[in-house]
Amino acid sequence: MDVERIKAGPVDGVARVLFAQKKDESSLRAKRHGNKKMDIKSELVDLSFLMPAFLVLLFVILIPLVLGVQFTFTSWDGISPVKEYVGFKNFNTVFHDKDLLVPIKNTAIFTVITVVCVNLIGLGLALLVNKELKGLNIFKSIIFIPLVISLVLVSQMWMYVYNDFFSFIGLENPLVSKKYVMLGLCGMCIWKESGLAMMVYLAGLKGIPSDVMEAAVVDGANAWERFKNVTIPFLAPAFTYCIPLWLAGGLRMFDYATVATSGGPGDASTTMTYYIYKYLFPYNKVGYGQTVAMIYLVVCIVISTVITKQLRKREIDL
Amino acid sequence: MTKNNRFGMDMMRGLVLTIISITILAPFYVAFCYAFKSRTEFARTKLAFPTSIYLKNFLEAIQVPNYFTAFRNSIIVAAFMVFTVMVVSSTCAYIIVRKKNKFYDAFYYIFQFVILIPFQTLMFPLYRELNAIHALNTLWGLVLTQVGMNVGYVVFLYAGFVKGIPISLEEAAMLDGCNKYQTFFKVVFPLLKPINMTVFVLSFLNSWNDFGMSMIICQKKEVRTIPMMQYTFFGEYSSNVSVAFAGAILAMIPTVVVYFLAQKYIVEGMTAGAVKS
Repeated sequence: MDVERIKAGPVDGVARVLFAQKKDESSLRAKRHGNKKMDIKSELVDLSFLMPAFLVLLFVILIPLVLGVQFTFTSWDGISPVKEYVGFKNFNTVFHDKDLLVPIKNTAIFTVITVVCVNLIGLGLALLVNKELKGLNIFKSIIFIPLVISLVLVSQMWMYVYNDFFSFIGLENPLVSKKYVMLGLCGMCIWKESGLAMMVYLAGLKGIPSDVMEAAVVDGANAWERFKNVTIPFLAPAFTYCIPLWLAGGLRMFDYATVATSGGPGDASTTMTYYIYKYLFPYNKVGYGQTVAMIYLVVCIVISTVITKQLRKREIDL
Repeated sequence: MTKNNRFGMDMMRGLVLTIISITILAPFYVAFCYAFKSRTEFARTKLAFPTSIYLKNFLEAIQVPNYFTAFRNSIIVAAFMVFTVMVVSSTCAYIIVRKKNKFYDAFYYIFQFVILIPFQTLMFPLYRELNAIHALNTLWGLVLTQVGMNVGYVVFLYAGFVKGIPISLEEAAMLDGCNKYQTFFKVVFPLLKPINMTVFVLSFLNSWNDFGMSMIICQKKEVRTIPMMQYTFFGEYSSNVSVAFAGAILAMIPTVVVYFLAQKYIVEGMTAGAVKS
């Protein structure tokens, strides 16, 4: 009896488990089958979370992207109801256009100068405010104020700073000089945005573990060596963030040139975005203007992506 | 010796920071000089400190037609823009992070991709599109555009934050019988509070200070926002800059108030992308 029971026991147990599994599976299958409607409904609910944002994006960016490509093949003036298709003629014009060299040069000057100056000044400021000092928070607050002011107001205030204050100290107003107008606009941008770079680099500096710095001191590293071998590597993520940010900002600079100088004197401060604006709206040359715009869009994305990738790679090396 | 040295360093730092602070404040001082002096006084004393406070410029500024309309428009646009961008981006980022499949990832890449596009390259097709649906020179057309231009970056900010939220709370809420919407708005959204504040101030400033978009979408006087009004103001009042600056200073007050109330969040918002990733 006992032996029988012992023998039967496990077998019975296995059977029971098997049976249970089978039952589970079949019930699960029944549930799945019966709830197919439920599954679709749940997927639709999930989609309803995604769609509002995507539909806005579709309307504001993706459809204009497609329309923009379409406009490049026309000689449209933006007003007449008929669009005449001209094939790749616009692209041909753009690639042989000497007028474009001025906005390319201006945008490049603005971008390079602001990226370099904003980051260097921001880093310098971050180092200045990193250690305790009386009234430090007041200084930080003041340095950050220009960031919340609109670019329009910044441009207007600086027009009069350049006009009144510069003449007061015997300097020429850069905004009326063909030679210095871009530097004048760079000055506005550096004044407005160095505070943001300061905050980003400051966050990076706060993240340096104090024992690493102390170890460097014990090893007898001087201030410059500590800066080069400890601070800079730890700031790599901050550089990866800041450089593409001001790079993109420089490439799309529009407000300063529009408000402060209207691209002038002559075309001495016409940037790429202002050039595109001029051809699309006041000049009504949509076919040409949109072709420049679409090429520029690709250029901006390529430059930003390549530089970000390079910086990420360096970040790992450091 | 080292203590003396330290003291000297602090003095130097204080001096440099003072000079920088003066440089930062100087343009505001020029604006104040114009706004608080009569035209004749400005011609005579230029940038010397105002000896008496002259308020007539401010009175003239607020009597300019459409001055308050621009204020009202800016408030309406900013309010709707901030609300919309927060709701659509937080829900979108949430589902992208939670679903974790290729389909949703593809959308995430699209959202990240559009951050890189300069507005001016697409403004004309968008202008035509808005014209076709009669949204040009309307405030909602501007709201829609501002949301579209900001949604990519805001989704990116939210997605980084949602990744750090434990899923167990949502599962518990689901077991308690909440549906997905209730789970999100009652459980997840309150947990997003820090990033919500950041997104709030960041999109508020982006909307309030926007010029590029309102310049082409809201050109008519009745729908102009503050930056657009200021732009035309300085053009029309170029012979009376004092009034223009008085108007500009009044228009600056809301931003400065927001700045001092929410300074911490503004700093966090503007540096948010740097800390993560």
